[in-house]
Amino acid sequence: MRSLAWAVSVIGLVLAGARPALAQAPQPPSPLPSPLPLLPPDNWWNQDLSTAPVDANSAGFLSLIGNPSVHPDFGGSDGTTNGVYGMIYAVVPGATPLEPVDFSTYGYPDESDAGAPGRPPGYPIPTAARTQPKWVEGGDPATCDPNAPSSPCDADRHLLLVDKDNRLLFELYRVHWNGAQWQAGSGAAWRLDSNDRRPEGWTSADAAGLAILPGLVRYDEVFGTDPIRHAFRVTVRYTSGHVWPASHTASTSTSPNALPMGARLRLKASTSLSALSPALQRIGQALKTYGLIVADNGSNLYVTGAYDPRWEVAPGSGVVGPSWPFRASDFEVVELGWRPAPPPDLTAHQLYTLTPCRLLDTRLAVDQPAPGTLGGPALPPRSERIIAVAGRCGVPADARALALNVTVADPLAMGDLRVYPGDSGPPGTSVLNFGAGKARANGAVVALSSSGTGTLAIRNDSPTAAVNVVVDVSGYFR
Amino acid sequence: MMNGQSQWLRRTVLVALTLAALGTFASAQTGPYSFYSLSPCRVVDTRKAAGPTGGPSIAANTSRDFPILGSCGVPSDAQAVVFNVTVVTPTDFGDLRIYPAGTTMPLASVLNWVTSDFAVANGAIIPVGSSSGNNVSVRADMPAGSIGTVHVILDVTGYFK
Repeated sequence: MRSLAWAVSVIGLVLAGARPALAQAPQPPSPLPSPLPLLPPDNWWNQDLSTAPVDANSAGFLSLIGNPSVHPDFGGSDGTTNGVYGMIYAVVPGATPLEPVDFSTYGYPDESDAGAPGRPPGYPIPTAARTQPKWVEGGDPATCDPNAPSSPCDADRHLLLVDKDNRLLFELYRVHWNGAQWQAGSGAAWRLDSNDRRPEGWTSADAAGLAILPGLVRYDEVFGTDPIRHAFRVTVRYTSGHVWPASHTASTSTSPNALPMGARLRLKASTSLSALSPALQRIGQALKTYGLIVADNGSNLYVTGAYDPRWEVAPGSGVVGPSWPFRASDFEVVELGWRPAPPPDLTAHQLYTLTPCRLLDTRLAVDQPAPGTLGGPALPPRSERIIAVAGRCGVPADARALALNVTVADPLAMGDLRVYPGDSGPPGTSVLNFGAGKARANGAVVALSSSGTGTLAIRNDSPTAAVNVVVDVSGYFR
Repeated sequence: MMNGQSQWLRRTVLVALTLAALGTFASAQTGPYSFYSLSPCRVVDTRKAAGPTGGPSIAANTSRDFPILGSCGVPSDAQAVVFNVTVVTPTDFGDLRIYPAGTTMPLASVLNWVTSDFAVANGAIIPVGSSSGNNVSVRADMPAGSIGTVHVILDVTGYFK
């Protein structure tokens, strides 16, 4: 994107600078509330990946990408009246009135948050954002309707807001002020002090179900003195399924070499950074330690940054491109869904029997209300689903392991299932092997997440076939 | 082939096995034990390089013993282990018996397969024993005279003690 002549950009910057002070979101953006990075230190955005194993199919995944250079998909102004590169975010006070947002007209009302957890519904959108430019991604005022025929702003149109006093992050996708109310395609709110993942299967303001702002390249950190301490958001052309930490699938390919949403790419430790500018060294080190998280379908290896007019006056750094001196072949794919092992559970548990009960049947169209059976869709190839079992089938919140019967119904190709605690990375073990056309069942005793959320992860290891999975429970340990 | 010495040896072994079986029955009735969960972990995979928990595959109608305690978080005082047992690429049909090392082989099997199976798995809770540093015995039953082999994978998800 940032390929227009610099001269045009500088003119745009001058024009922007001539505007009244309150006509746009504060730029440069106001400082984010500390401590940084955003979200807890053990959040997936801030996870040190340097010791994580390489995925067995790393080379296959990278082969589908080809070997492009990493492209920084951000900058300052694009030289048009309002146009800007990168994601715009604004930091707002906690007293900002909450605006209701309509998701039902154009979007995903069932996968959107009406507001922040535990707070009244609404998003803290300043009044100026309704009509003024440079609050919404792309730069056009929110009065521009992305859903109108031949709309000049038919794009992702994200609006990112940080409530610095209540430590909340609000993100909206395809926002529009229609003159009477706010509308959006989807919306998600996060507590900055929590590692809450979105419900399995839900989107966010991003296709993977992840927050956007914690993964942006920001000017302050690139030109600061401290190392950058988080992963960056990246897009790839083809995706298939999703793995932790992602919660949502938006597949564009059935190739076994298409990366799932949530996959993480790490710059190889052997990559030399010594000849680079200090800013690019800082970026390169972050790519080695924290990597890239696949968060949306888009151009291959486009890394997203925050819009900031100062990018235009960062001479000689090489930070805004047109490309970074790292190619796809300099990366490796971290084992899909990897996360550090939780501490071992060394407490004794007793068996409590249950009337055999169906916890999950992906052949059902939708989840039944608790305590009933969880539903579909079938697990896409090489994908993980994390289910919350507490409160279903009589499983109490303090259960630490389940006695299960796991069945695969009518698989179309060979594969295996892994079943493991919802807060663990996928283990090198399986529970069930299946072949094309063969329904298979197996008994298993599997621990639940140790974090008290009662979650269980199920991963389909078939690289090509979606499978229907049935999980029955006949007892629990606590 | 049969001579006086091997006859004697055979009788001695039978007596020893009978005694071992009696001892096994006594210890098999101990308990109750509590459950301890583990993150799933692969403790034996005969497809890997040759070694105590690796290759080779198990030949028809033979047994291999494996060490379990002290690996994958299973403590040395565990009394029984929750396994997921997988057989891979069998070259003849058959079944698997898994039992405490150092005890008499039981009739009970854990897993059956046919030759067209690439991989078949089953869950099982197996008491552990002790024999020359090993804790479980795995026997691959196949038709008499078979020259088949089968790879075995043992994953653990918990233990009792």
